[in-house]
Amino acid sequence: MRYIKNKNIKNILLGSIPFVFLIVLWQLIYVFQWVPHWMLPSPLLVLKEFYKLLIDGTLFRLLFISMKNAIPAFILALITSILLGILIGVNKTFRKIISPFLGAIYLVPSLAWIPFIILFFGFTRETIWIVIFISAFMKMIYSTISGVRNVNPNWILAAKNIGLSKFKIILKVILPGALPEIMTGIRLGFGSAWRSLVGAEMLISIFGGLGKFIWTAQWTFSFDKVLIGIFLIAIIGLIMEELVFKKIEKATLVKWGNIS
Amino acid sequence: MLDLKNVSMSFFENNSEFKIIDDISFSVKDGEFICILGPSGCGKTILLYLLAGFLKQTKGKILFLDKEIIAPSPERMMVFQNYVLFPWRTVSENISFALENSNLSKKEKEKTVNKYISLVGLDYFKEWNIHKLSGGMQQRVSIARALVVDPKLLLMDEPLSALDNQYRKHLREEIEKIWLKTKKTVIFVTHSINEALYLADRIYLLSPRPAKIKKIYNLKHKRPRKLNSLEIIKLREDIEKEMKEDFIKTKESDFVSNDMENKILNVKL
Repeated sequence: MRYIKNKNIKNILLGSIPFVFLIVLWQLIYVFQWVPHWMLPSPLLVLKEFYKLLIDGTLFRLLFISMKNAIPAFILALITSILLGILIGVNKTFRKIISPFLGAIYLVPSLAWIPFIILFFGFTRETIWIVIFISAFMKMIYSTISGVRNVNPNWILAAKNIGLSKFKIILKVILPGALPEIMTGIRLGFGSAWRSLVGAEMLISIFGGLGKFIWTAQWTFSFDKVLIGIFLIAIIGLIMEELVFKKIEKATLVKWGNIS
Repeated sequence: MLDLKNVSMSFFENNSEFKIIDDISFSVKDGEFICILGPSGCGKTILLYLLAGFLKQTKGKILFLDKEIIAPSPERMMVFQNYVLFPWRTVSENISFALENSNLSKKEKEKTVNKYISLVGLDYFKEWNIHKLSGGMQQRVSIARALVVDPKLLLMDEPLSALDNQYRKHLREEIEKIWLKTKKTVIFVTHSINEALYLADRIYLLSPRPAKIKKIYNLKHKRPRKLNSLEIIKLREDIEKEMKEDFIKTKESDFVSNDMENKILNVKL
């Protein structure tokens, strides 16, 4: 490894080790028939099926449905969690009222709400949205509150010194001051939303994308499809994490001087 | 321009009184450079916060231009010990922050900001990010931010104490030059005898907490001062003696700790 000079290539190679290991193991299991073939199809077979579904557009269609199920709810959670998080972070009374409530909700897995939400909204896309919303919101609001509370109090004094209004202090000092932590929250919130999305789609399968795909594949014993669904979910997660969030987070932290 | 009349400040916690400032009175004339000299944790920063209007004294009166201080105002600008700059803003953006509330046009703002960037000698670093600057440069930005609103009174809270020795001397001279150029009234809080001797028209030496005025020194010496002149050495010896007496007597519990300071300040939106 030390002969490889390019840092990016080196990181990618190092990071692929567990994946390669798993694929080799998988192939071994297949070759030696440690489990029956219908339970675990060969890597090559799964790859072929993946290619087929990619070419005929099935995967893109599934992804598109899943995006439709996730993104509106995620964006709404993003906006509301930041607004409410700032309010809670700034106002002590409000914080004292809301904190125990948030703490209680935080411990309930978002999927546990599904039976209750179905009761009111039925098997609809709204039900999926609500689950995603709860899941993303709960992660993001805590980061926002903590970001706001960790804002340097002297920054606020400096702003008060020039007679800035409360609203302007929030806009010009507290929000940018809390941004690094808010960014981390958004990253965690997306991860959380993405995970519960698949769960919600399995349960509300009429509107399901990837979750439904996995769930229905098992009834026809198509475990190759189950695996493809899992891979796709993981790949999307990896892309978001490595190419989107880590970059944005790093850019903020570098500018904010937390990492140089 | 500034009159303190029997100012006392206490902090109450669990029904017990924590006395920080005890009956301080003094007056400051326009354009004077005043140093408040006192041991660490004696409450001198709290005194500065009273003048800034961040806190209200429990007893006495503080008159600024014959009016009582009730709230912070850009007429009295604070320069903080740890610079307190905004890392997401560049040097010039940090300075223009102070003009956030002013009615100047964009162009006028830019012109004013540039003027003060030049005054503190940071032209080259105008568009730099804050964390790339040294501590001394950051403090210059902070000074420029305070001056850009053209305040009548400049409140400086140990602005040099976080810097290394060499730079401290340099910035001390710089502050003197800026003061001579801008003719601002300055209240400069410090625990460094040399800084006070170099900069002050008048030194108020404070006792340990609760802070009282222990002694007043008027310095009419020509500027820039040489700290190794005989008169100054004598003054230093006298101040050192006074401070040492106190130092031996003080207990740990007498200090206003940072923690305590934050509690007293209790910064809310």
